[in-house]
Amino acid sequence: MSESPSKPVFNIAHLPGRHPEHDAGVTFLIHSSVVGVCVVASLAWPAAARAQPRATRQAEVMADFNARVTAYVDLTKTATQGLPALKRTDDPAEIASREDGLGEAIRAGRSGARPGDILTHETARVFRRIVKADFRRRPQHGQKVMRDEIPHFRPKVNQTYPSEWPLATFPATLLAALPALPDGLEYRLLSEALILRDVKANIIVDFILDVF
Amino acid sequence: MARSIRRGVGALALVTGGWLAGPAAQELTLPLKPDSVRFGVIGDSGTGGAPQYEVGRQLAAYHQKFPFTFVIMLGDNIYGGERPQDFIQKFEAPYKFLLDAKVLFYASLGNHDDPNQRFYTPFNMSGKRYYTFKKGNARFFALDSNYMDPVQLAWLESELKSSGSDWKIAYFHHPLYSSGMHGSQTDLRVLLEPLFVTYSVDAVFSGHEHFYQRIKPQKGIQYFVSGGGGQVRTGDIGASTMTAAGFDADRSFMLVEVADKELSFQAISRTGKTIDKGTVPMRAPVPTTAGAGVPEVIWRDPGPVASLNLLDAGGTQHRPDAKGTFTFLREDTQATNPTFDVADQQGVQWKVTLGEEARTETAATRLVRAAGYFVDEDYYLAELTVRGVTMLQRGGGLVSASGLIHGARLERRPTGVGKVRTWGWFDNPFLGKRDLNGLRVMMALLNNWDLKEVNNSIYEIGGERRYAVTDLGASFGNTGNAVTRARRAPQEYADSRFVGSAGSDLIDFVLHNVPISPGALNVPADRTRARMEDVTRQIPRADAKWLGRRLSMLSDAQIRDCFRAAGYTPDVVGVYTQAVRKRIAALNAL
Repeated sequence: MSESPSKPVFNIAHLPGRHPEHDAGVTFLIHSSVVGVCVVASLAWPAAARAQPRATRQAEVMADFNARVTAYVDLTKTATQGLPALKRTDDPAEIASREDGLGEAIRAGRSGARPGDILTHETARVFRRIVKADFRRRPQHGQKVMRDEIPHFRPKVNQTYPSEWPLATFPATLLAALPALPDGLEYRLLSEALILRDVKANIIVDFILDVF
Repeated sequence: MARSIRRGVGALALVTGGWLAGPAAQELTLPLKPDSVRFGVIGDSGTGGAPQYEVGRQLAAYHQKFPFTFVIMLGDNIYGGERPQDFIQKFEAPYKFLLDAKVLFYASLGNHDDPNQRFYTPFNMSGKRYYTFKKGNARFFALDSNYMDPVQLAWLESELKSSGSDWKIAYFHHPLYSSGMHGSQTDLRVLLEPLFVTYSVDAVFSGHEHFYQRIKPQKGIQYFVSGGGGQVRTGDIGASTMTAAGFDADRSFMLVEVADKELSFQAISRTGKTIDKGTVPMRAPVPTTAGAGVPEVIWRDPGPVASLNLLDAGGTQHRPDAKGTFTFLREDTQATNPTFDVADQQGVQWKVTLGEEARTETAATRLVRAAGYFVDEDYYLAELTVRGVTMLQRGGGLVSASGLIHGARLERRPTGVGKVRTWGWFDNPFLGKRDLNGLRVMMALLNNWDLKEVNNSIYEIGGERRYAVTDLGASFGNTGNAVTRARRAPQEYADSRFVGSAGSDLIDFVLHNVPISPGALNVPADRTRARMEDVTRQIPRADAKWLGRRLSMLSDAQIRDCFRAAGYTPDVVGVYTQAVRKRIAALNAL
């Protein structure tokens, strides 16, 4: 995919359920509105306009990421429809079986899922920069403690998170620097990876390698 | 299914020697006051190993002497696999005596716990990763320190704020203070400690470190580490001046009693030996917002004006360290300019604002403070580095990849200060009084056209309610409608009219705010804007002169300092200083 500044790297038409012609119309309308707003805004606030290109680019990447996350959430809703939901019980076997059931249904619903479907190349580039920057700024002892707690296994998409491994604490300040996720999804760290984990189904939804 | 698990517990307990053969409780140091709240504390317990069972037996033995009604769990409740049999082996069997005695367990999540443990009824988490519950006069806050996201923080602040309980006790897995292998969790501390301080949390219990450690009170809060419920890291408590007491020779647990204004604690080893004991007094409560009888103040004599240091906002000891590293906390996407919170290396929280208002706000707060009015404590930094600020929804383009930011205003987030509500220019207890009228003139002097009610706040501090203007960013330009007004326009400010019509007793100061089209006055927001012009109209001459006299005590150097503190170039400082001096002279000439 080209990264030429004149051409958007992400195209919302790549997402499931989008029709290219519809999107072309929407794009035209958006472009028209943006041009109009920009003309007015540039008269009143020229300083702000200078700061926009990078912010706009990041906003595009994040909008794409959010759209993909939303698509995943929608898919899980469809895939798990009719299955018993996790609910309070004093029977741990029931929790385990429902968790497994959700995991199986989601795996079946996205059997063709590949690494990068949600955490795309472009999103990964932004996230890596954030994680690396956070890690580098920690004192040496802090880096060691963080590393020591991180599990060491290579993730796979749709894999059940192995219960024998701890869920490494996610640094609170790093969490605040990443985009918020909807309820039921979370970020976690592995040896060299940042994963996106479905909490209720306990499956690895997607991951980015070489984040440190 | 539940019944079969209970049968399983019985079988397992027999294999492991049973719970009835437990030891007799030894010394009990707790006061056993009538109607007290009594509970046990276990952390990092879920190994399923023999030592966990031995701790369970000690707990059962002490329950005979000290009938506690619940146990708080500090995380790592189930280590390793989380199959159904693990819940039996690592929880139900070791604590069967207590479970049978109807003792409730309230779990928090550790890094070894699957968050789906929240659905396990015996952990009483109500299906939530973090939750709160009340026992007697104490409210407990069980947090998920593995994943402290902004949603959880907002929830915590809201719950702390609305808690009417005498005692506030927080517990979670990762310790904010510890001298063990993992050490203090500073990432968490910068987020949680300000909330604990502000809302008067009394005691905090954590695990993660496999030992017992009592920390000397930090900012008035008593911290305990009690992570030896199943494992121990022998000799792991490092030398530290913050340690009040510690025990890392064996497994341990705690018993706690809360009665009236005192929390009593006893830490006990696996063998029943008392390893620490003591009492914690209740912290002073946050000032209430009841209002009745609370003095209200809008102006206070700042003392000798000529000696005010206007380069600083609150004394040199409050100034942020421009060379230090700040940690990004959260973004405020509702503010007019790009705004986010950071914490410095001392844990002080600051609100950072980027954009054109950073300078004007900084300069305006100093002048307003010099006049004797309450303002936020603002500093302008030409450059600062913020860790983790790379994903701003707004203003991302103003931040370099390394977190370097140019031109930011830092507003100190004070602790122990509660915002009561906003106040309106036409709805406050000072209407018609000199002190309010002086502030109205001050707004005209600054050309601060953004006089919305939301920009005014009442703070409760030191037993009084202080009325403050908390957003002065629209100052030092010219006033006008949405098209004609401008911020940070020194020459326009200097050239604009200050005194309008002057009657014998009442003065109208100039503050234009009427919308572009008169027809637009039908829009409520525009009607509000038009009304703002009245803020600076019909002001008694004597009150305006009073303010003029006060401001005339400022030297040119002091006025210059207001603008120097805001990072303006010497030329601009000169223009603004002359313009302000001219306006002060105009007040004195009335």
